Amino acid sequence: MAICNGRSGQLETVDADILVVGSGAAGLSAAVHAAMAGANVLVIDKGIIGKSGSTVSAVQSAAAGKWSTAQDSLEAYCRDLLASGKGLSDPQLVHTFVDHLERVLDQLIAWGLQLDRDASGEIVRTEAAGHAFARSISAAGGNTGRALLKTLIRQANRLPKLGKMPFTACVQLLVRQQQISGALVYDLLHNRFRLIRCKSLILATGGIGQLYHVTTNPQQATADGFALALRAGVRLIDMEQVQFYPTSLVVPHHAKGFCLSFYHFAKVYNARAERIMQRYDPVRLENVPRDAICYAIAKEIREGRCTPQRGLLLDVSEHVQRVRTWFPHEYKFLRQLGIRLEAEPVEIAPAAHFMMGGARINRAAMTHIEQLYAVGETAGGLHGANRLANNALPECLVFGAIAGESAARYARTASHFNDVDGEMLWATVHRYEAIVSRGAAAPEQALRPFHWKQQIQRTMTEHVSVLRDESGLRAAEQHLRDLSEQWAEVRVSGFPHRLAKDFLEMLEVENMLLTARAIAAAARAREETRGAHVRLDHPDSSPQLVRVEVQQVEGRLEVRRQLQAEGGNR
Amino acid sequence: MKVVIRRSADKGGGEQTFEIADAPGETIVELLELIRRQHDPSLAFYYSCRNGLCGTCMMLVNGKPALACLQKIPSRLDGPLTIEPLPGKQLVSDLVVL
Ligand SMILES: Cc1cc2nc3c(=O)[nH]c(=O)nc-3n(C[C@H](O)[C@H](O)[C@H](O)COP(=O)(O)OP(=O)(O)OC[C@H]3O[C@@H](n4cnc5c(N)ncnc54)[C@H](O)[C@@H]3O)c2cc1C
Ligand code: FES
Repeated sequence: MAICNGRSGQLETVDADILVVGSGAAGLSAAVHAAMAGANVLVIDKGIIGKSGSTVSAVQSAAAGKWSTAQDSLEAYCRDLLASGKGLSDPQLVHTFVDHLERVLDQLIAWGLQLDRDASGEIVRTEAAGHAFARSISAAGGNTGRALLKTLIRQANRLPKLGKMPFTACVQLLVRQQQISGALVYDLLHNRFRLIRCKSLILATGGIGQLYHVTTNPQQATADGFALALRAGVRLIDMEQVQFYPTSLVVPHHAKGFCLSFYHFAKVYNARAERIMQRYDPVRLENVPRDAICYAIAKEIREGRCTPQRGLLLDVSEHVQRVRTWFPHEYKFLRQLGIRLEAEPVEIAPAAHFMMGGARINRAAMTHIEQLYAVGETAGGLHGANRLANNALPECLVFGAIAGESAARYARTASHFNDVDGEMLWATVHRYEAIVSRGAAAPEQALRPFHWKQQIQRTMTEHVSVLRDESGLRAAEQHLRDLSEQWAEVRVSGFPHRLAKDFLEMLEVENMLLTARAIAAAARAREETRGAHVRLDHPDSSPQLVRVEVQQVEGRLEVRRQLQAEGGNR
Repeated sequence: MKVVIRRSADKGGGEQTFEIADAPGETIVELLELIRRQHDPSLAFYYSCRNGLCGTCMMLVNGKPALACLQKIPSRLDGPLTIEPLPGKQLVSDLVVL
C-alpha cells in the first residue's frame, strides 16, 4: 500500500513568512492584513477555503464607532463585554477589541463590503440581548458571515503574495525552544505529508461544536486548534466555558441544532404552557444573554417539563414580520421544513454553539510561544463566561487583523526560519504510518474513527453539557480515558483514496479526545457556577475570582486554578 | 433501495450501484454518510454547514442540482436514485467539486 510519504526520508517543504491555519473570518482577516503589509502568506484549510467553518452561518456582527448607533460609545461597549464576561473577560483584550473595531470595519467597507440599509438608506442597526445599544449590523440581507468571507476572498485574490491550499489539514505545530518553526500538514488530495516552514503561525481553526451530538456548528468544528495548541505547550484558559445556543431546532432530525436567533423577542413555554422566563427572570424575560436563558431551558428539560422529544416551545407568532425582515434565512429555512411561525410554536432546545475559552493570548493575539498566534474562536479571554450575540465575527476580524499585522512586522525583521525539530516531525509521521499500515477495517466495523466520534459526542452530551456536576464530570473523564486507551485498535479504511474520510477523521478524533479531556478537567476544577458553566453541586458563584488554565506538560494535562484580582486577570 | 453514484476516475470512474437495505436517514447527506460508513469507505463527498448556507454540498440528485444537506431522499421512486457531481465545476473526487 502506498503509505503517506515518510519512508523516503524526505518531506516536500514549502516556505512562507506566515502560515495561517483555517480560512474562516479570523484566518482570512489575518491573511489579508498580513499580505497587505507585504508578507508572504499561505492559508491552509482542511476543507474548502472560506466555506468550511462557522463563519458562513453567522447572521450579524456588532459594530463600533461610526458604524454603531450615535448614542453608543466605546466605554458602553466595554461595559457590556465586561458585564457579560462575569469577571473572566480580560480587560486588555476587551479594550483592544473595542479600540480596533471601527478601523477594521472601515477596511472591509473599503474592500467592498456593503452593509444592509433600510428604505431611507440608513444602515440597519438592531438590538441584541446584553448590548445596551442597537449595534448589530448585517450584510447581504442577514448573510453577514458569507458576505464577509466573500469580501475577504475577493481582497485575497488581489494579493499575489497570498497563497491558498484547500484540503490540507494541520497535523502538528512545530515548536522548538518556545519558538514556532512551522507545521506538519497533510494533503488530503494527494495523501501525503508536507512540512511548511514559517516565521509566524496564526491558528484560526474555529470551534468545538462537533464534540456534542447536537450542535449549530459545521462538520469541521472538531476542536483541532485547541489540541494543536495543547500539544505545542500553549496555555488554554476558560475551557469549561462552552456556550450552548438556547433555542435550536429539535426536529426534524436532519435539521437538529439549527439555531433560531430571534429568541429575545419571542416567548419560551414549557410543556405545561408556562412562560418559563416569568419564573427565572421576571423583568427581562426572554431578552437576556444566552447563559441565562440556556440555564432556564436546560433546567426545565431536566425536570421533565418538556415535550416527548425533550424540547421546549418557542412562540414568535406576534413578531413574524421582524423575523422575516431581520432573519430571512431562518424564516425561509423553517418554511422549507414545513414550520410556519405564524401558526405554531417551534420545538427548541440548547445546542453546542461557541467556545469562549481557548488559547491564552496577549494584546497582539500572540500566545506565550514566540510568533505563535491564535485568533477567532480558537483564542480565549475576550468573552469570559458568556459571549454576547454578534461579538464573535468582530472578534475574528479585529484579532485576525492585529495578528496579521504583527506577524508581518516580524517577518520584515526576521531573516531566517527557526530550526525544525526533525525528530518530533518524523515521530509523528511514523506514528500515523503505523496506524495506516495496520490495514483497513471492514467497512461497517466499529473500529473506524467515526465510532470514536460518536462515543465522544455521547459522553460530552451526557455529562459536559449545560448542567454539570462532579460525578458526571468524573464519569466523562473516565470514559474519555477509556476511549484514548482503545484508540490503539483504530483502523483506517478507504486509504489512500482521494478525500476518503477516515484519515482526516483519525486526526480529528485525536484532537477531539484531547480537547474534550481539557474541557471536562477545567469544568471539574471550576467548583462554582459562573456564566455558561453551571455546576448543580455548586450552584453559586464563588466570591473569589478564579481563572482555570489547562496546559499539557510532558504529555500530561495540568489544570491550574489561578486566583484573580477582581476586574483584572493578570 | 438502489442508489447509483457517479465515481471519479481515481475511484474507477463510471457508475456504481449500491443496494441500500438499511434505513438511510432523511437527507442525501445522511444517505451518503451511511454508504461511506457501511458500504464503501472510499466514497468522497463534502458538506459543512448543514443548513443551506455554504453551498459546498451541491450535487445532482436524479439529474437536478440540489443541496445534499437539505434534499430529502424521495419517498417514491420509479427507478434508482442517481447522485452525480455538479457539472461545470472543477471535479476534485467523486461528488466533490471546487
Ligand atoms: C450557526 C451559527 C450562527 C452564528 N451566528 C453568529 C452571528 O450572527 N454573529 C456572530 O458574531 N457570530 C455568530 N456565530 C459565531 C461565529 O460564526 C464563529 O464564532 C466565527 O465565525 C468563528 O470564526 P473562525 O474564523 O474563528 O472559525 P471558522 O469560521 O469556524 O473557520 C475555521 C476554519 O478552520 C478550518 N480548520 C479547522 N481545523 C483545521 C486543521 N486542523 N487544519 C486546517 N484547517 C482547519 C476549518 O475547516 C474552517 O474552515 C455563529 C456560529 C454558528 C455556528
Ligand atoms: S452543507 Fe452547507 S449548504 Fe449543505
